[in-house]
Amino acid sequence: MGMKKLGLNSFNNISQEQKQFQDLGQSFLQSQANQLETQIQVFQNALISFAKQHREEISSNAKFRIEFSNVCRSFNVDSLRVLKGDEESRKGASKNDTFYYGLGVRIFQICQETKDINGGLLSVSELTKVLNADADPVFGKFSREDAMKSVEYLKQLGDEIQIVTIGKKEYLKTIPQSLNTDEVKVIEVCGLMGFVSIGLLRDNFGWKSYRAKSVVDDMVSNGILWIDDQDEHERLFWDPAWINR
Amino acid sequence: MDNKPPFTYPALYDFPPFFTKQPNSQTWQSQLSNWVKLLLAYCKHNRIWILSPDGTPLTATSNDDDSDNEEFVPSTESIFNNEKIQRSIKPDMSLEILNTMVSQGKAKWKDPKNHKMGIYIYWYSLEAWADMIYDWIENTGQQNSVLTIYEIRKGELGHNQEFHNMDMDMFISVLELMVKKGQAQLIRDEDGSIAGIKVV
Repeated sequence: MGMKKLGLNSFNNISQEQKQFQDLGQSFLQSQANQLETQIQVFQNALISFAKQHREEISSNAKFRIEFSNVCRSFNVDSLRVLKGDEESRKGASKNDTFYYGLGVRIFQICQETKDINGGLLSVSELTKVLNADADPVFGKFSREDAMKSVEYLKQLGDEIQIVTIGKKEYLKTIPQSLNTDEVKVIEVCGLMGFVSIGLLRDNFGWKSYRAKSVVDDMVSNGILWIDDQDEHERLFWDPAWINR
Repeated sequence: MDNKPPFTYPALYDFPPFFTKQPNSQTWQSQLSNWVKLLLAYCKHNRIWILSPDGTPLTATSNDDDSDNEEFVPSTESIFNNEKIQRSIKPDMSLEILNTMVSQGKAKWKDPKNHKMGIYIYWYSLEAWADMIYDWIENTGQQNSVLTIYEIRKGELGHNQEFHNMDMDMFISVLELMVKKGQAQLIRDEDGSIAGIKVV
């Protein structure tokens, strides 16, 4: 049989030569990858300065805009960020519908994606964190103002997203039902401590236990609060906005 | 020496209710899928092949460990217990998570009748492992030659590969899958045990 020997002899199977070939191949691939990386970066920068020069035209000409977005996408550039520009160039720029609608769509997506965790109540501070999770220093960050303005734009399309202010915190609400005053109180306390408990609501607001229980139970079944049974005293009800605080 | 950075836990891991089963079924589904994702990432990072049902590693190997001691245990910490926030999940909840992984093909009990034996965590599917080994053999020009199990699992040439030091029984499952997919032939010793494979 033409097979190689099994057993101890086969340990010599890997000749030094074979290993050297592999090392050479790998260093070759690496240098190719590095070169490509540099080229892509150069091209990305060119795209950004192009966008700076032609921002007006890009936002006013739909056909041009689509083409531009396509080019951005194929180079893994976020056209939304490019259109946003850096803080400096934005001061003079006129209101940019394309940017706010685009950002609005992304915000809507984030609301949908996080709904299973937060029951449809997303704090604006968490939203901006998610939006800027992969922020590139070249473009600067999406600000709270960017986000709020985009939500205003979305309102023209329907009432799916509402901005509610509870305590000192702002939230985006994507559930149809409105929050009653007791629920608002619970969220307000959660904004400070992360959680409430029936005892805490009773002792601090003079609520009867059944009132506190019915409020938090409702909020749990709506997915707005999570239960925690491992406190040494009583069940705690946590606000998922606390996850990324 | 193993000097890779420690595992980065997701923010959810420090959220106390993550360790209590949520009564809202939609929230629970999301909690469950986040646990599955966490277990896969955790086992991949620490190269844990078999996890004990209490969340401690049973079989794990560092990439650089070339000794044949596969039973070395990097830590006695359980993924199901978060010391920092003093929360841990109850056995019935962890069992539900692990069984969900089994039903999704992401894990397999070593012995379904005796969970203490541990559970294989497939941070790559067997299918993906098979393809990875197949591609490696092809890319290194080793097709049509007989490779011993030792050469693939422990050999110097593959020592930067992710399958390096794979748990033996799991490795055999991968080889058997490769045969089933027509990627390889098994070569057996006189006593019938698998001696090596030949990629065709």
